[in-house]
Amino acid sequence: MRLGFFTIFGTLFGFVLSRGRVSDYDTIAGMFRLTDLHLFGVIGTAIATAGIGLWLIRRGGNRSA
Amino acid sequence: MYEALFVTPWPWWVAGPAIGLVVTLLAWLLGKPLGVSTGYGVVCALGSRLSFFRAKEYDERWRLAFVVGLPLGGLIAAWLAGQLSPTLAFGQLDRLTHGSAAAKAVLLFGSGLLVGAGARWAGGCPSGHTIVGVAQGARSSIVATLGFMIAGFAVFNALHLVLGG
Repeated sequence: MRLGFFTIFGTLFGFVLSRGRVSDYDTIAGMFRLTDLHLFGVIGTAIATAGIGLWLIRRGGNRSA
Repeated sequence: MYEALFVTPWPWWVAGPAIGLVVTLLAWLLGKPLGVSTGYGVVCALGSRLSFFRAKEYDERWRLAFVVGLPLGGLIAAWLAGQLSPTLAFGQLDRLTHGSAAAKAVLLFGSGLLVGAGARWAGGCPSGHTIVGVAQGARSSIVATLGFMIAGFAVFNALHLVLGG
């Protein structure tokens, strides 16, 4: 049953990647051609947000983060 | 509202924080570090007797449950956007392969093998290393990310130089 929660998270992750054009070939091609900087912004803000989030969890005493 | 949420692609300043939020919620609610490629390793562990896949990380069934959700999320996104129309078109890759479906299949299949082997060799892919690892300040993840970027730039541009497109 608990595994179902992970599938929900996977679905959420797939949805977010898709909505953000991260899974799109042309977006990735644009990054490597430096003609579309969208993905740099996505990666940068994802790292920053995850960094703050994981730091807050650590500060709250959850060691698995 | 529906248009902005489900139809128009999200701008980077929405997509990036959304990804970071998924990472944070998974760690907070279920106590797990997000990662994709290890999940494919779990699939391999189910069907392979190689000692490589006997490592502890490939014994984590939750990772398998997670990667099962990935294509579902993509499907739901396409469906809500009203763009659920299966196609073999692959954007600029079609120009690179000059419209040859066989060349495209070979390139994609070969790339998949390289990406899978490389991600397992590096101990992670652009989700586990670049987002989660770098956010935690792990030195190995920063090195892996530099590797992904440098190799991506080099191979992509070399391929386009040689094949055109």
